[in-house]
Amino acid sequence: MIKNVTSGLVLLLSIQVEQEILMNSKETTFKKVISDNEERIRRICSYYAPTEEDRKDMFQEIMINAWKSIDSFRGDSSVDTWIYRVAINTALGFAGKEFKRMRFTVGFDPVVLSNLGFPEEAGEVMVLEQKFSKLQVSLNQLSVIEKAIMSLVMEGVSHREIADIIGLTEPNIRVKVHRIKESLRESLKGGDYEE
Amino acid sequence: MKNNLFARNRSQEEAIRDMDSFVLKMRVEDERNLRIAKGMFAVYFVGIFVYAAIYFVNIFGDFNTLERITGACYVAAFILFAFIFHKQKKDLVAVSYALPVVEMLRMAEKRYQFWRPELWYALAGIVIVDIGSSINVCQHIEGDMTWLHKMLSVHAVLIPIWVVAFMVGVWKYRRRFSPHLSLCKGCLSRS
Repeated sequence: MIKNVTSGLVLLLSIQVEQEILMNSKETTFKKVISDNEERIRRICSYYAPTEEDRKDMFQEIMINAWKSIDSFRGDSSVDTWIYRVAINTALGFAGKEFKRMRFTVGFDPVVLSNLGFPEEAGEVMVLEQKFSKLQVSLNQLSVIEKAIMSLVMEGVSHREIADIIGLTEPNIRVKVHRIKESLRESLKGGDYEE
Repeated sequence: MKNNLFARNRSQEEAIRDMDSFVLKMRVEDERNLRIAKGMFAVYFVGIFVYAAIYFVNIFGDFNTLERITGACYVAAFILFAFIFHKQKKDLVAVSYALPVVEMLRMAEKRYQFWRPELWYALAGIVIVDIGSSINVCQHIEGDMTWLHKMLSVHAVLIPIWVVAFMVGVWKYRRRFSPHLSLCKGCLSRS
């Protein structure tokens, strides 16, 4: 009887210890993934959330979803792909029904603009600013998935990785990116600032 | 320069402190959710057996056949609702934000459908509760009415209650879930 009770207690204790070890390893992985990718997540937030307050909320939400999904991370995809998936899925869920009205914001960053195929030799600052605001308008007319694709293009993510994140085939992504860039170029050509 | 370095170190320290408190908060929440899930399971498990023993098996011998049928109906409905809650909880836990975006949208589209299997199970549960309640009430109605008349009188009250409850459910669905469903459909149709 005493032997049975003792073995039961030992089993309970070992389960408790095992759970503790698992929890600690989850914490370590989580902290490492988030601290390594903090900048990247903040940039994604800045595309989807217009105000500082919204960005903070979205960042918090991404952390929560990353915590909930960290158990599913088994290294099948790269950490970058994993964190981008969590960030973009959260951004879509965060906006919910308001997403259609949500503004997609692009910072005036030369790297981001060159990833978008924005003309480098734009010359005058005023012309450049006008073109930039036109670009913002055109980007906001894209569909939700197209916006998600373009946010990854702006991050300099490869087509193969974008396909992995979005869940479409690589050729499909390549065609979409090409078409979107073409339509952005077209929209920049029109109006008073045609070159 | 020195000031900048100091500010940077301080913000890094704050970030680490924030992260630690965040992880702690999430850990506490995970443990709380697990406790609630275990508690709910215990309540359903014990509840089903206690109710079945008292009302259906009739361990105290207090109930007649009709009351025992009523008890059996309530136990069956209880099992059905426990199954629905368990399935919903399982589905919610299975939501992973690490899925590819299109796959996540497809899963969300399924989750936000109105006529889901869970709704059919819930409607079956309501029908079972309705049968149990009407049998129970009918046997206590006095007077020269036939069983058909008694059933019709009981349902004159019960049916409006079920209809109102259903309409409230539809209204809540339209407010909370329908916009998500149209967002998912919109995204997928243009992907």
